Amino acid sequence: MTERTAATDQALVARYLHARDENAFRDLYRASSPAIYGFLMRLTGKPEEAQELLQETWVRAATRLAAFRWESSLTTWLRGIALHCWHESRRSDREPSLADSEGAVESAPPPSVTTVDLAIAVAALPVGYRAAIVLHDIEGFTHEEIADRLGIDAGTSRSQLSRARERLRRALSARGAKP
Amino acid sequence: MRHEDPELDPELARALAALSREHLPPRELEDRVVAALRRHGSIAPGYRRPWLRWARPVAAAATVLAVGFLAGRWSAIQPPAPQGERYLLLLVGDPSFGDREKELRFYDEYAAWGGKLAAAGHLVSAARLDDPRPSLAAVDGRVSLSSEQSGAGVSGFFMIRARDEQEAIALARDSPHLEYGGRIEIRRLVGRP
Repeated sequence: MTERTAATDQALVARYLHARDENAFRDLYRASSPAIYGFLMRLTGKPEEAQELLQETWVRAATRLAAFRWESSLTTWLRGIALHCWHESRRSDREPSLADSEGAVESAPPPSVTTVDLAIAVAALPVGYRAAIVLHDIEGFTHEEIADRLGIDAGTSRSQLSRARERLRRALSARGAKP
Repeated sequence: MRHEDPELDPELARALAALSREHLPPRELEDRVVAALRRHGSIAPGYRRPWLRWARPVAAAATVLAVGFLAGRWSAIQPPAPQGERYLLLLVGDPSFGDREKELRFYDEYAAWGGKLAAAGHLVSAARLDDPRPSLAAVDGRVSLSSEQSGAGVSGFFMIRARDEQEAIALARDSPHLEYGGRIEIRRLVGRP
């Protein structure tokens, strides 16, 4: 994969916005989607759901691209939209999100995989804990950023992350992996 | 964006950070996304996917030009009846342009080359090939879908008539496909013409 720069992304976006050209969009899609799809895969743990969310991300991004001010990288901006789409899907499906994992702590079964490497352990976490680990420890969001995007308190984000890490450590220890 | 956290074991922190990697989405998802954007008006309506698929490692432009762009011109040409053996010119590779002006010049050069073939009675047919699709393969006696795509890189073809292989090579040598970095495989058709 060729190395991307901010200038490359700007050129791709400008080309697409010029005439809403299909080919130009495909170039933009191919350049940016792997990072966003990876993010969604880690967040959802389900390829089908990640694909639906990636599609929704692009539908929304396409309508907002003209107003994008390049105050962040294109990937960061797209990832924010993807996170918002994921969060909305959790609320509409009544599934626990980051703030709702309190109940999931007690009821979620421990990971049942026999060979636990870190990726499997993360994927096996309840959705709220997985989101906390993915957003903060893997993707690098601050608690304030998580709070802002998900409509929760930064303190809630911190406490969720602390519990998520403990669950992850227990899962790794239970399989003999060094946490 | 990565930040240090005293609660997180450094080794675990590094291992988690290493999970941040890209994943290629399924190929068919791209078309679904394009269709969705078209429904939402984010891709120009009535847009015809051009043969300029240079982002992909195929030389689709040549044959799409030959079929679509040149159809109007060539239909008016009354060539002599094709003579000689049939040869398939397989367009392979990824022509590169560098800028829009060069890209447009490619179109004109291709039109001229295709027109010459038609006018001289060499052109039998031409077509663009769609993107590579899964193929069928028999493994241990069972036929199944295979991800191997032996035709990868071939974006289209011209079928021509030529006296012999030397003439076929001479006709193909003038193709702008070669000038812009593509490759042409020349295969004679065997069997009844």
